[in-house]
Amino acid sequence: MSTETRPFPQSRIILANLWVAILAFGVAAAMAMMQAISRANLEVPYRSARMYYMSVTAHGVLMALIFTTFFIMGLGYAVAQKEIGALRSPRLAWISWTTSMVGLVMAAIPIFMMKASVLYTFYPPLQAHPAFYIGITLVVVGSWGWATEMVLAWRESRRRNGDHPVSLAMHATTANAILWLFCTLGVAAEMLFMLIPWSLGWVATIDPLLARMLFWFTGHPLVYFWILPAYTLWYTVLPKEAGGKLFSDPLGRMVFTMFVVISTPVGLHHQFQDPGISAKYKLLHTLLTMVISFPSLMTAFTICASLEVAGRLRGGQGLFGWIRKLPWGDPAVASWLIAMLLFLVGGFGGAINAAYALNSVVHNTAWIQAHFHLTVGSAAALSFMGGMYWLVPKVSGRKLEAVPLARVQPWLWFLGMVLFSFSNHIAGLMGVPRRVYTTDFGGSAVAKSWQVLTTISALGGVVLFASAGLFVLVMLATLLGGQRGAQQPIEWAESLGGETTKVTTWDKLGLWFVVAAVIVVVAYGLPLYEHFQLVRYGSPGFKPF
Amino acid sequence: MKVDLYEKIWMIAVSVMLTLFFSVIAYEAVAMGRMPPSHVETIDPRTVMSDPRFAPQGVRVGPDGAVNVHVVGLMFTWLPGEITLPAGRPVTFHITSIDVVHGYEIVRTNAQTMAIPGYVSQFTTTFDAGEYLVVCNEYCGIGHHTMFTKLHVVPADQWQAPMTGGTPVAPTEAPHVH
Amino acid sequence: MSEMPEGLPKHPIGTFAFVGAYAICFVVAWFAIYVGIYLARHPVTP
Repeated sequence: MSTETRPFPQSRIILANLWVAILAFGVAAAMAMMQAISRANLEVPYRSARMYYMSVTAHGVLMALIFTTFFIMGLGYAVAQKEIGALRSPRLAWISWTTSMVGLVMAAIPIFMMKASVLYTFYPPLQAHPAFYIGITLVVVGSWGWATEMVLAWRESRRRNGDHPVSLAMHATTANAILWLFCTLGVAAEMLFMLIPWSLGWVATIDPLLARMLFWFTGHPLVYFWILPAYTLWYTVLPKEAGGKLFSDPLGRMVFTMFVVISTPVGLHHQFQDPGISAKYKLLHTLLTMVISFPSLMTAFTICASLEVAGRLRGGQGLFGWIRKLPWGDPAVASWLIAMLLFLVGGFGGAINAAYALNSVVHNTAWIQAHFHLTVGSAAALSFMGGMYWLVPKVSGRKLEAVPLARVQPWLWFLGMVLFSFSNHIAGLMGVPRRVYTTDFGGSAVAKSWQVLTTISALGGVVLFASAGLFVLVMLATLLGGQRGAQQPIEWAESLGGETTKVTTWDKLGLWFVVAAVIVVVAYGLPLYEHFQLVRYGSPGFKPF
Repeated sequence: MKVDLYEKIWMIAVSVMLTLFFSVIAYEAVAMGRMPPSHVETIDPRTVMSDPRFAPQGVRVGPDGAVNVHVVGLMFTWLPGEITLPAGRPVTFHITSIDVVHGYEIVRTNAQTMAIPGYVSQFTTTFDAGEYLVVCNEYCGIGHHTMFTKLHVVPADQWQAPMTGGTPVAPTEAPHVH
Repeated sequence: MSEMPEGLPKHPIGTFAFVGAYAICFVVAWFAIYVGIYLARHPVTP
């Protein structure tokens, strides 16, 4: 079978991206366990404040930027090859991967040399070695090449198919790529015009509030960049793997398009507690944040209904009998089902975070850690792991190894996350701050009341590490030792209404991008304009690590 | 687009729920003035320690009896350290940083704000009598977890007002000077 | 979309019950935190 007729003509670019994701995940998971234990005021080898804060930086960058981005790129290349066969430009794909890899190494070196303990939010005036900023910038620039490749594949598919729309998976992937290209403008501006010149000493001072605004311009849509590929798997793979059909394809298209429109103009909800930003803009972003909850809540119904179809087709009776009939023993399906269950709580937490004045109860507390470990850490990460159980055998031709371990792994993740998120949600409401090496606070009485919770959180961290370890083991065993065979093609889930055959408004991603841009000009243009009217004093850099 | 009846009902229910949340939030903001601390005022971080707005730090009582607290955050402490406040009376906090971004959090209250160098944060609240741990909740370096202090709040009739004068009015912004 | 497959209920009743229960829990929990923690503490104004 020639390269061009294999299911994945360029399988190596897919696997190259997934390899980086897996290895980054493994390193980051090891660091995480140490952090959780340290926060509970318990000793671990090599424990020190310097090590801890370096570790939090490494864990954040490797998990939230590297593991996620490289998986998303790998999945995207698979979707694109299913759509159009050979990629429009394999060279662009490899330049992207290489650029991001160079960036990864450039950022990783100063991190592990303790010269960049600024966390993955890198708020100035904390100042890292310039290689950190340049490295992260290159990771993002590399991903722009991936995003371009996705748009090229989308256009080629439209060109070949005339009035027939692209597959839902390609639509979702392209929506995500467009979203990404747009929203990364914020952090790119922060890097290119502020952080890099400042860290190199070309400019003496930096405006920390402007840096934060530009960071969160990207920082919130970043979470949709993460969740949309998880949704892609839930909409286009899970219904079939579970034995059913997608409840509604048109609604799916609408949901992904809505994310293009509303993902970006909400970032001020990460800055509710910041001075210097007028309350009316924070309220506007609150309203828009409520709006963007809508497509996720719709997804809950559509996916649940698809699973109900699957479970009932498998013989489920009564109101909830179909739940038990789902193939919980399949590692990928179990991962996705558990990811969704955890996301129910994570999504709820988001509605608290976004509630304007109510945010002061939870901001920068342990609640936030609970929230994002349920969202990016479960809804996205666990779905990504399930996605790899499903995709890696197809692309590599290797049979999944250590299947019993793969079956247990998502359940261990569930247990670890329940312990971690439950304890940290409550701890946060009790005022435990986040990102702290220890929660002792000089033996204060209120801090003593936190000890039980931080200890439960540490236990959760250990369980999560075990689960992460199993995942990495299964992947290594499969990729290095799995029984060799032929690539297997992707078969997208069918939908109840049959294939969508006509292009509708929701498919016109270019149009909706324009709408998105207009909203952003208002929602960010106004506060940024007012910001530039202030008399501002810049800050030099500090390296307290 | 044909949408299943039950999914349509769901979409309406969800819209009602989100509208309900936002209505509560907006009502509270507009009618009761409760909103996140959003004070807009800049300050030169290099001269904070001699600026009348923050020198000296600590509690000041104005001629009208208004209680103000002036706090400077720096790696790794909140100046002026432990302070004593009266219970049941509104207290207005003015906070800034002279180095990196910190987070001023009064544990077990609704009160917290970021302290960003170059900017003055402000909020007003009331306390019950007791002792409150005040932590830094924004990572600020290797001593982040050591950056904490205490607020002592005593019954108002037992509180000794400090001798220092009132809080100066913030200077008006000079236009377009950078 | 079109109808549910032959032999299945006409509408996804299990889903409806499940997400309905979720929405109720969502609202209850939101107000529990809003009233029980936020409103129970002293208000903060700018």
